[in-house]
Amino acid sequence: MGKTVQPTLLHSCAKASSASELLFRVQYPNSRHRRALFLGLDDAATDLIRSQPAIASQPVYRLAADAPNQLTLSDERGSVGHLEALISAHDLVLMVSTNASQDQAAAGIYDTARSHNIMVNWIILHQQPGRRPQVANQIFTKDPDIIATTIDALRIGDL
Amino acid sequence: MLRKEINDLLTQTNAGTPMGDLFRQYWIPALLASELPEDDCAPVRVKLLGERLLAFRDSNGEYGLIDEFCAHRGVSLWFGRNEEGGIRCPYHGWKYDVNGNCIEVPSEPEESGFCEKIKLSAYPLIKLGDILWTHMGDKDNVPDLPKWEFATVPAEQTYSSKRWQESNWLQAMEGGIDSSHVSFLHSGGLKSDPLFKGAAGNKYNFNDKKPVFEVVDSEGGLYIGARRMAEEGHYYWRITQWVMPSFTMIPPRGDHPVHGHFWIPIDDENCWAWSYDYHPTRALTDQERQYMIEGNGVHNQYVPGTFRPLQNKDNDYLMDRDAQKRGELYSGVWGIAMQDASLQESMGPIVDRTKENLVSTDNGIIMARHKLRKAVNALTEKGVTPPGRDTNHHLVRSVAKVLPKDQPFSEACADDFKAEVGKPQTTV
Repeated sequence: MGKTVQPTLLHSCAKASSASELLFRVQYPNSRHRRALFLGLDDAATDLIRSQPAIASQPVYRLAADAPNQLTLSDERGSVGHLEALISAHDLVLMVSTNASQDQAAAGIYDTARSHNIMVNWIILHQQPGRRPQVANQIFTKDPDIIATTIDALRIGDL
Repeated sequence: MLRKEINDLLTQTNAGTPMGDLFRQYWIPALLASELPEDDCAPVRVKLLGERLLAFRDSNGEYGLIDEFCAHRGVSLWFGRNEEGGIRCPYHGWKYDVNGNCIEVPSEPEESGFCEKIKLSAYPLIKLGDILWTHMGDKDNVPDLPKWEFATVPAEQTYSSKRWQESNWLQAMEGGIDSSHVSFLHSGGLKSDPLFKGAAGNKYNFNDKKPVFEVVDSEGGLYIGARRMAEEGHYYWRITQWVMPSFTMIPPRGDHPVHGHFWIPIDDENCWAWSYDYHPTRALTDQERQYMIEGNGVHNQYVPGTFRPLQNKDNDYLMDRDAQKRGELYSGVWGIAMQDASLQESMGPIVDRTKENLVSTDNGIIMARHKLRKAVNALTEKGVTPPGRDTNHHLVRSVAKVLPKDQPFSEACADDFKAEVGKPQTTV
């Protein structure tokens, strides 16, 4: 241990923490609502996201089947838009896949998001190891309930 | 963010709570074997999962873990006399064996059989490695003995310590699976700590401070992989093991011993941080063992005669602002263990997770909470045996490895993750 500085009495009161103090020690709310772009990389994944009650009022996108490599997205009403145009209105992308069919598109989505400094989280609900692209922070599980948990954990549910 | 009801569910472990019931499914570390060094030695007060207990070693070398308090008038048996096959209350001489049976009530006629009606709660206490383990759950449903590699290698290959941490167990455990803090909080330690420095892989930590995380289900819990840029076309992977409910194994560095933790609740506002170091294929050197005793690596120094860290909240963890300014210690606190503990204790006795703001690098924490919650609910509602109880789940290794960029670690390291006697660790 190197040279140390002895504590002073000035700080002593701050050490008197208690469990009840924690109920008021952090001013709350302490963050602005994060706007998430919810994106299913395949049909089953899109259905799983759309079934989440916590985001009932938010659009859920899927890759448009006719142009997967151009990162064209469509929402449940059929509105079509390009990821590049949509993404800037969001703070993070939560994408979900249940198979490996769109793994290369995932890499493109990650690159686009990164160019806008937007966080990407990818939940992978299949167990084929495959040579999927090593992009984004990934959760690899068989348990689809992790979608609801992640929505809660990242505070991206409906206001 | 975690909803209040789930935060309460996961942080409360006293008897009768759902999370307490989950912990009581497992063998958990209770004491260092060195705390009961010989037959009829002094007993030790132990508090685990909110229960006040007394550990002792009787005249026959049998270990016991029983209620701390005498059934007569509630006196602490820690004041008792450990003699002739039992612990005797110093107040009126009632005597108990290692199974909590009252074997003598001197004031009553022996033929009355009164003492046969008296029994204290008792839990099994067994020695494995340099630790005494207990199972505080259903006596008719005791799991097989633990097979953690650090506790089963020869004694010269392993070292364990424990320290009192003044916080709930969950925020301590979450620190152990939160690899993203290493590049900041422990950055000084990678250069200076004798049990970390010098590994070839450390350069990747220094060069890439923004690791990307991949969290993968394992049979007992999770693999938490952190990848950093390595040579062209390659990533440097560090994969931590988390096995339910609270075992972690940190990836190795070079040929240093590998280390990890158990976090065991004392009560809801305190926990034991157990730390182990072992090498799977060689004895620890005298120098390495000495470093551990001196509090390097994941270990710590103590207030003499206690398991309270020498650096604690009463002395501001001996914060060194000059070293912080010079960049030697990122937080100004010396030692990997106390760098973690100081910040985790600063969060308060039980952190209010309803107010936190998680990001995608917290996926390991999100997944661990998710798996704990599901296991608690499955146990409570359907009696489902939780992951980590099957001793095959104990036979794990953490891994540090450089892999081609397109190779998933879960596939490339499948064999590296399995603990086998005499198998070298996979490390860089």
